[in-house]
Amino acid sequence: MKKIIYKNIDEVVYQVTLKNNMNVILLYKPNFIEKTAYIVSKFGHFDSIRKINLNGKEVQIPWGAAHFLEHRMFNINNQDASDLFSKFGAYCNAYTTYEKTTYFFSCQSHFYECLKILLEMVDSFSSTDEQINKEKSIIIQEAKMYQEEPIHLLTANIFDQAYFNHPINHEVIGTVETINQINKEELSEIFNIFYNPANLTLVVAGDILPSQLEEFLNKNLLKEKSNVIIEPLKISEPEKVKKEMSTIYLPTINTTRFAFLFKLKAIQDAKEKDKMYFCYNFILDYLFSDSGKLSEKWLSEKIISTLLEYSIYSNIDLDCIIFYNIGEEIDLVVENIKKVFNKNQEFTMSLKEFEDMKKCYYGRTIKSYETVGGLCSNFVYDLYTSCNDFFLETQEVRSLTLNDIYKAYQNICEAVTTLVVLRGD
Amino acid sequence: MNKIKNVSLGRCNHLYLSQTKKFKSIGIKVIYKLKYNYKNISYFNILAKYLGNCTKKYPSIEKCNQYIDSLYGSNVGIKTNFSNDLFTISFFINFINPKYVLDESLIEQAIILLHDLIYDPLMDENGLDETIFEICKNNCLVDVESLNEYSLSYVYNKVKKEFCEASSAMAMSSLGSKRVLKSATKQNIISYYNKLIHAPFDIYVNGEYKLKKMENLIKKYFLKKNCRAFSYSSFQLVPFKKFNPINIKCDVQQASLVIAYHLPVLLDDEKQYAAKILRVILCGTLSSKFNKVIRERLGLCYFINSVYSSSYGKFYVMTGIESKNASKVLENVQKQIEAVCKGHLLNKELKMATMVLINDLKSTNDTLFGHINMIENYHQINKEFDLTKEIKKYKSVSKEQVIEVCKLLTYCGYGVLSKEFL
Repeated sequence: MKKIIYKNIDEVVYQVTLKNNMNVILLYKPNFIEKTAYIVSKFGHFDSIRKINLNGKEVQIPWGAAHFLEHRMFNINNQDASDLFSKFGAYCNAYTTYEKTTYFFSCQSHFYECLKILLEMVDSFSSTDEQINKEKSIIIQEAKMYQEEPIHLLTANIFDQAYFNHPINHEVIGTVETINQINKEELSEIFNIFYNPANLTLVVAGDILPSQLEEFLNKNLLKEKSNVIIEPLKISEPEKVKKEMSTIYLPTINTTRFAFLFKLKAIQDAKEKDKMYFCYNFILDYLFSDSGKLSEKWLSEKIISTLLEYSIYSNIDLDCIIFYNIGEEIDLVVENIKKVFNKNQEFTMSLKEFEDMKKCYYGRTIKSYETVGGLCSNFVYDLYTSCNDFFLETQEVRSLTLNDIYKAYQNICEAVTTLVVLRGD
Repeated sequence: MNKIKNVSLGRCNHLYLSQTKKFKSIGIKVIYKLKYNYKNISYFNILAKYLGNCTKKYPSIEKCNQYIDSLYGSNVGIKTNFSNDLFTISFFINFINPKYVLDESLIEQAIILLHDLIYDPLMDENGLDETIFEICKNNCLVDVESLNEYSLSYVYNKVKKEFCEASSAMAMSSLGSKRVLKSATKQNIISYYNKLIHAPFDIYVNGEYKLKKMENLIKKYFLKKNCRAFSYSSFQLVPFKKFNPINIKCDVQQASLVIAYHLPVLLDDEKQYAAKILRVILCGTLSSKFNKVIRERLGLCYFINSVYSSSYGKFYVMTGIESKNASKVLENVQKQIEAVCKGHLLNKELKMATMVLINDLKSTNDTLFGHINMIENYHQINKEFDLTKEIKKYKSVSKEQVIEVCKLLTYCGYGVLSKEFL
């Protein structure tokens, strides 16, 4: 395995591409008891815009298929993978996101036995119609659970309202209708195309010997399933939004909430996209975090009653910012946010403030490497979405300039916006 | 396992120093112990927000947080907690190991900040800063308002209240009471601040640092003599009580169900190890009985979880289901418990549950505050945490002991929030 040393931050990484083209990364963490492994398929929710060939017919991948397949991958020769992991006291789980599906386990002992189970999970697909039907009822329960979570509901509705063609306007889990449409043949075909070793990355973290890991993986190589070339996704999306405002209802809530989205022009260049992502974070923290320039002012002027929350989404052909808040003074908050991001408004950040923010980011990032689980999940989070070397991100941030910040600010000012209000009955 | 050095910081205060090179940061936690009172929760929640956001030196939310950020993105937190008649308020700071930023003064700066947040607050003869006080009070009220928006926690809180007085620690929400929060004045908060600074405290430190230097720095800022010791018990058996089903009607897609059991095994009881193993066997992992039967075999839910409260002797099962399936879930949960009582328990299930709990214990050493929290939890019940001994205790639990504990589980009632009455 190739060894990469990041001396300044005491981190060592090993990397190898196996004979079957599967990429393997070891985040070496000596003296930790916990060991963890994540296997990541570059097949996620957004891939539902693709078509596959089924019995000579081209069909679109159903919404929710990636997530449905994730549930069924726990079936290994009619045994539940979680039962197999639990024999070793290991914890296992999986999740589906926009661009990938991730399976992982965490253990304190029997690492290689657990890794074998994880590899078996993604090496073959077997499910009966009966198992698939039972899974549908479980997933429909899951979908209903999300429908009653205020933040989930707001986010799903605002994406649907902001985007015309982008798959983000569909929920990862699908709908009751699309979940019910999913069948064994589709899942099997999807598996053969997208769970090819070349489309998978294994990320391991813990006190594990690289030579031993490589030897084990070469003895347990995953099968190559198909030679279909997977083209990168390309999504075309107009700059405008579907609708500017809507109100939705959830009987269980006592307080009105809202989400306010800035639909930014999607950046195509990977380096520039990563750079702008950091800049957007800097601007929002500078204005709206605990230490933000506007937070205390807005709280004391009763424009907001709690801190404004915000999320930045940067993904395939997608860049946007969502603000969330609680309270009845929605127009006032929205008006004030719009004023902040007005082209005619002057936005300044002093060099000292900018350098202090970089210092803060540096410290927080280094701290985020300190646990096995945290490091590995952060690494996987960035996989396929960022073009930076994970451990060199702090250097990327150090190289940012105030001009980059002003450029990002302009991007936000040029965005179109949309609002969703969530009220109780 | 890390060795702990115990240093006295005055009449009833202690410093516990633990060293490890594993982490990138250093953590310091100061824990004050007070007698539980239901008003404490609300008032101390406001006080915690106030103290965490300003000091005399940094007299605004913005300035105080900017200073915290400038210490290389340090994290500062204040948390309240309570169990039976013990109420605790903890202040903690987590900052990067100075070797990564070549700034040795960072340790002292972090300790001074922690000290100032507690002992040099933004207070004068006129009391607290009016604007910051109002912001903090309002934040606490919003937190309480939002809490009940999650159906399952709403039902869980309703069920807990069936067992005891509404003002007892077991029934109280950690966010406090809306009524008490609304009536809070600056004078109330100042009087609670005075209670806080006269309460006994312990300090825990973990990370890579020079032992003597850290000890001296902590002594320099935290050597206090004016505390008042008191006796407490953080656990007490809440008597068995059967209650009528709680039906809450609401137009929801998914019903939230909480089933309550009496399990008279407390923290000081040797049977607690068997009780914890029983919880994992029944409903602690994806391979537990309830998950296998209710989720996998019958497809009745997406998740099913449980809580064993060893402070009060209660066991709760919670799940989100379709309203029409509530009776089926109740019936099958009961059937699984009865089956274990009759001896239907496999060796592999016992082994799996024991391993899960032992692994959880071991992994506390893999996080900076995990280790500190474990030592602190044991101190609260006047015990020293000994990982080897604890592992032995779990390993010695037999199948028969788990079955005996299962026989102690007594059904008390359930609460459900759904579209229709059951």
